[in-house]
Amino acid sequence: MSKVAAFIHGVYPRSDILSQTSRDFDRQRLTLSDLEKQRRKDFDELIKQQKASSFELLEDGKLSWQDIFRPIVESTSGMEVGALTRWFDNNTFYRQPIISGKLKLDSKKLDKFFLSTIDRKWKVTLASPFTFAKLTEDTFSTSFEKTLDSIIEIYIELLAYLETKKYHFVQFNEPFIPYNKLKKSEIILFKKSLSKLKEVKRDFVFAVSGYFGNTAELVKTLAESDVVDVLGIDFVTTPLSSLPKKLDKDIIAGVVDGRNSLLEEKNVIKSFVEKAIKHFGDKTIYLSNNSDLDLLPETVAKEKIKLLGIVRKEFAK
Amino acid sequence: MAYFLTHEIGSLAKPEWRVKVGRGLPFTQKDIDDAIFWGKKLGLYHEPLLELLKKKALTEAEKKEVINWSSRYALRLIEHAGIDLVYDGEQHRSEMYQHAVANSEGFVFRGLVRSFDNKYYQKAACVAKPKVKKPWHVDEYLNLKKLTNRKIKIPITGAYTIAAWSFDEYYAKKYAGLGSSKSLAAREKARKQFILDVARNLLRPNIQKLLENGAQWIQIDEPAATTIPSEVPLFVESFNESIKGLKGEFSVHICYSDYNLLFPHIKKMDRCSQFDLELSNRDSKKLGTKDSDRPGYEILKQFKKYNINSRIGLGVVDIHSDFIESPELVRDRILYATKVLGDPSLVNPSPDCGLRTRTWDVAYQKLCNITAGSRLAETEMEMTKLR
Repeated sequence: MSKVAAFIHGVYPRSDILSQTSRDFDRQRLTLSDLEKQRRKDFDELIKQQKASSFELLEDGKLSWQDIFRPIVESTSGMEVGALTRWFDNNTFYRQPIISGKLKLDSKKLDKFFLSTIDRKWKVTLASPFTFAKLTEDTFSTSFEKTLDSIIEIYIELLAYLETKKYHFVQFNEPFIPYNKLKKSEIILFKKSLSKLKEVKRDFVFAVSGYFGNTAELVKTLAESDVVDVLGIDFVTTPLSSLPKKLDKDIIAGVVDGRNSLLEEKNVIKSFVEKAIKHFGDKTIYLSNNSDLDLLPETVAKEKIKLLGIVRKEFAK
Repeated sequence: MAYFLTHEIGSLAKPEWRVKVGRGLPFTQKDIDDAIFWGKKLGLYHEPLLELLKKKALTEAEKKEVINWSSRYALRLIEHAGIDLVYDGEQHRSEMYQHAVANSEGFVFRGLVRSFDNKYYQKAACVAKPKVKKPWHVDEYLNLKKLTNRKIKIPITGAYTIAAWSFDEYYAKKYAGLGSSKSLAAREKARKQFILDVARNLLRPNIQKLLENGAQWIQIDEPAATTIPSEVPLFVESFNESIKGLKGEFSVHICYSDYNLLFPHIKKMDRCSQFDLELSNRDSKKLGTKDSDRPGYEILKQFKKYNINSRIGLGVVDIHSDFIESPELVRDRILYATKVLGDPSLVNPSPDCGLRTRTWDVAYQKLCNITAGSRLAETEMEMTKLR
């Protein structure tokens, strides 16, 4: 029987107060302790929201992450923080990772970016290794395949670290493929690279989620993957009819738009989920945001979390 | 003889005493010293400003007067550097997006959104059909007109950028739902309607008011023009809609963008008299007029290739660096552009973008060297003719 669940993914927006606090910290008007105190308040509020919405899995919101790559770049020797670069077609920027030598992850440096004690209720989102490699400038390797390989090597170390922290659900966010409308022949490279994660898969549940474009080609290519357990689809940009039926995977359904403040109508989501259940068959459908909520103000993101919880509850009846 | 018409692009940093008025902070001796230093340097009679800065509290009228002084100082700085087309460094404005949206109906600010790291901007949502609440720049233009005899070019935030930097809660309501081709098509239609309504209902009436009050040259600022590559034709359409039926001179400023994406679409911007481009940021610092010396200006070949005869507002100084471009470097950038475009009248030297991230010292030196470099380029062209 189908099950409807819910959670969020990715970088979550900081509250206006935390934004101001981090700005004031930069200008040395406030101390690190002031910043951490406000960050903790934001974190507590985010967890409260997710629990109030009865989400099956919780995320920490990455409130200290400056972008989706930064903690990994800053924790890896042979990798540096580069120029500000536009995050796809958004008015938001990240610092481009630059590979300048052989990569080696220093997992001790990761501690400040991940929760220290957790249970199986937590999940974590990472940039997909493919997007990471595509958006990195590699001055050390001579081909994209080599760049991807070196990122995968780092991810193997990263996953071993996450295992020690007891994470078990890892979501890899993959905007590059849908945004650039990559063809199956190009996505196969990604599929092959994911198979290298098999050695550290063990108890992990791996999800790959596409957004910023039609996700159908990505879903079709990964449908048979024996490493990926859950597939994420941006339903703001992907027609259901373009997707294969009766997939052998659970689905993350991106049904609230992380790029527009307009609050979706409950009934529109409900009627879509009913269609999705028929389409995908006996699977778990995780209602979620399509892209990171970081592109919205925090007050709006909070409303979207609430809405996901309301729809989820309707299906739990 | 060739004459390279120099101009500025828009913003200049605000003096600390101007910033303090906005934030309600007290003035210090340092503010007074700063006002004296620049007043003397620019040859401005500044005693009335000093009287204001010595006061412990200001009335609302006095606060406005301090802002007017800031406008006067910035204008004079640009004139003093020898720039032909002038403005006041946007001393009356808060920020290019916020100022426009705050003076329009149909928008509500929704909160802070991260730009990068710990930098954020206030993002608004369109919640009703956009309408002008108060003409955005008429007061500042009328004020400036009294202060200068030079030609004024008024910067105004463009329709596409306003729409691209806003959420859409009004037109997007027409989406047919989730996960269907029908909803995707409806989304595209709604997006187009939003952008063109901003052009027709906000930009056009604002520009019209400026023209009615005597403005001659309007610079439409579109930093977002190429953000969504597939929407470049929509940016072009919004520019044309913004000026439809209006008589004046119109240019567009686009910066930190992939200019290749503009082609061939901008061929349809036949009423755009000038493209103001950020180019020196991409260029080398060495002297010379060969292709290999001037990689930042390679894009100009595209303008030639597509037979676009609009002038180029040629960015010859970088606004994100304190490096002062020498007059000789400015000269070589101008000469190279002239060689590529084949006509000196198509080249108008300027900074890459507004200079608000630089101190007044640095901004002033950069502007002075634009003037000096332009004169050197003219001389060099004359000499070449004589040789």
